[in-house]
Parts: sequence; C-alpha cells; structure tokens
Amino acid sequence: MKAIRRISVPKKVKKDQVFTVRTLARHKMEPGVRFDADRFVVTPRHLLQEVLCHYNGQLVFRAEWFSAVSANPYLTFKVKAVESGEIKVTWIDDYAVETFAAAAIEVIDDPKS
Amino acid sequence: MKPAIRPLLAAAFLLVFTIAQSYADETAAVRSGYYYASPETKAIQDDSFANPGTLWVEAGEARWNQKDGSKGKSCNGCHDDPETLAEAVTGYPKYEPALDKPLTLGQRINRCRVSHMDAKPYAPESEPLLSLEILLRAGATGRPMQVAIDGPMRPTFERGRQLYFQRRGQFNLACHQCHDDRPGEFVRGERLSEGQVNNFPAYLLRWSGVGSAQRRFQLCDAQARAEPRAIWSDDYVALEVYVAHRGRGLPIEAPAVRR
Repeated sequence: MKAIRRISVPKKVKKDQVFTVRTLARHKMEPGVRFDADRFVVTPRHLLQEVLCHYNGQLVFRAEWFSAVSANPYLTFKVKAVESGEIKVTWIDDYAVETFAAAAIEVIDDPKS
Repeated sequence: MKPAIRPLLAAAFLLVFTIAQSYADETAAVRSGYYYASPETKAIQDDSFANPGTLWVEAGEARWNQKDGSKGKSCNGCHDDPETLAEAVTGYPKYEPALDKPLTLGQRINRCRVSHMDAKPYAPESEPLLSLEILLRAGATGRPMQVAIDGPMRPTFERGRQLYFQRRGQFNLACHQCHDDRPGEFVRGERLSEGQVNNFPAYLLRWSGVGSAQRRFQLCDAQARAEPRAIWSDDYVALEVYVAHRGRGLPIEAPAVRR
C-alpha cells in the first residue's frame, strides 16, 4: 500500500494570527495485540509513533502516538504565523521509516491592519 | 356542465390526486443511508479533506494510470477519465451476455483486466479493486442509480427479491423486517437505515477501511446469526441487484462514510 500523507494550511494569513494545520495519513495503525486465527500468529505491531511539525525548519509541534490512535489518523493543531515559508509534517513509524507532507504558507505583514 | 356530473368529476379528480400523492410519498421515502447517519459521521463525509474514503479514491487514481499485464495497458489507455464511464457505472450490477449472468462493478473491472489488459484479476475485497471501484463511483456521484431488471436480468432479480424477504439465521430475520419496516429505529446501539447501496463501496468506521456492499451483506447476515455467503456468490449478486433496483433513482454517493 502506497503511503498517502495529506496536509492543509491556509494559503495566506496575517502575522501573529493563529491558524490550523490539518493532516490526514493513510495507515493501518496495527496495535500488535490482535490474533490472526488463519495464520495462527499475532499480527505484528505497526504504528505511526511520532508526528513532528517543522515551521521553516524549527520544531513547533510534536506528538507521540500509541496503540489507541485510530487507523487513518486525522490530526489538527494550531500554529502561530511568524513568517512566510514551509510547514512540514513528518510521520515516523516504529520501523523508523519517515514520511512527510509539506505546504507553503504566505504571511502578510501589514502594519495598517 | 350538468350539475349531476360535477361531484363525480370532483371525486375522480380527488382519486387521481390521492393516487399521485401516495406515489409521491412512496418515492420520497427512498432515502440514502446518509439520512440516517449520525451528525458526526455526516461531518466526516462532508469534509473532503478529512474523509478517509478520499484516500482510497486517491489510490485508485494512481492505479487507473498504472500499466499492468502483458499487453502493457492501463485503464486510462482505453477509457480516458473515470468520469467518462459515469453513465455506465449507474447501471451496475449489469447483465453480461458473454457469461450469461450479471456482474457487479468489481467483477466487471476484473473481466476488463483479464480480457483487455491480459492481467491477473484482483481478489474480491482487495485494496486495489476497491480503490478502482470507489474511484469509478466517485466519478458518477450525483447520478441516479438505474439498474435494469428486464429480459435476462429478471430471474436474478426475482431470486434477489426472494432472498430479501426470506427469513434466516438464529434470529429468524429477513432483510425487510429491519430495512423496510423499521428504518430510523434502533437495534441496540445501531440506527437502522433503509439498507440502500447507492453509497457503496463506502468507508466504514468499524472496518477502518473501504468495503463493498456484499461485505456489508455478510455483516448483516452475521448479525442475524445466519451463515454469510461468499462475496460474488450468485445469491449475493442477486441480492445486490434487487437492493440496487429497490433504491433506483437515488443519487450515487462516493466516497461515503458510515459507521
């Protein structure tokens, strides 16, 4: 199954405005406790363990995930606009495989408004 | 106009009006499962970003353009965009003259793969097949379902209707007892829908994935404590034909989210 990672941020925000980053990842999030009766084994654990968000290279958000997180996890969080640039979200699974999605954001610094 | 005829005419008008009215009520009663879904489930479906079914559509798009089989063809090579097949998609399950039996959309995709692409058929309920199916259904979203039941489809349709009204399982339940007589009511924590298939293949939250209408039939059977039949078995195809025709005119809804 091909990794699908999605990210959505507003195209333009004002400086110091708090905006929402929305993400969606396609993942089975196998908790590692389910018994497969056909093959007579416990299905090995396969989770996205860590989510990182970098705003122009600086870490602004981090989450640790465990077995109770649903399959195809949908995650949103808030970030304060500082400067134009890139929002990059990285998902790391328990085999240390990294996948990411990135989006550009434009910050309008208008002293009049 | 003679005064004697006047009440007669009025009565005739009233009769016609009443019949028309009751017919309108009957067609208005056909509702997609969306109507019975909880507000939270509806919210996931309506949000095109958060809707996990769109992940399968995205995967389907990649597969649509991917060459496969010894002839080196892709779906895109013959069919252009999935939207060009929208009208055809509304008619499935459809009669296949070469095999003298109706095929579901998934079976039709497999037939295309074997005869035109010279590729291996996908397993029923496999991820690539469901991705392609949901991609095609998404292309036909909003178009009314119109399954033909005349001519060679008639015996299948009759068999489907018989299954729909047949009691089965330890609970001794027939489909119509829940889905015709009690839609909107609760069976334990579950709100019954009319059992329409206009939204399938759908993302079911309980499966954390996309499943076909026939996989949902299996779940229905299991919940009635009946022996589920195999996917693409003659009985389930017949049942799908009946249920699709029962919900004729309902707009196709994909990718849909259900509980």
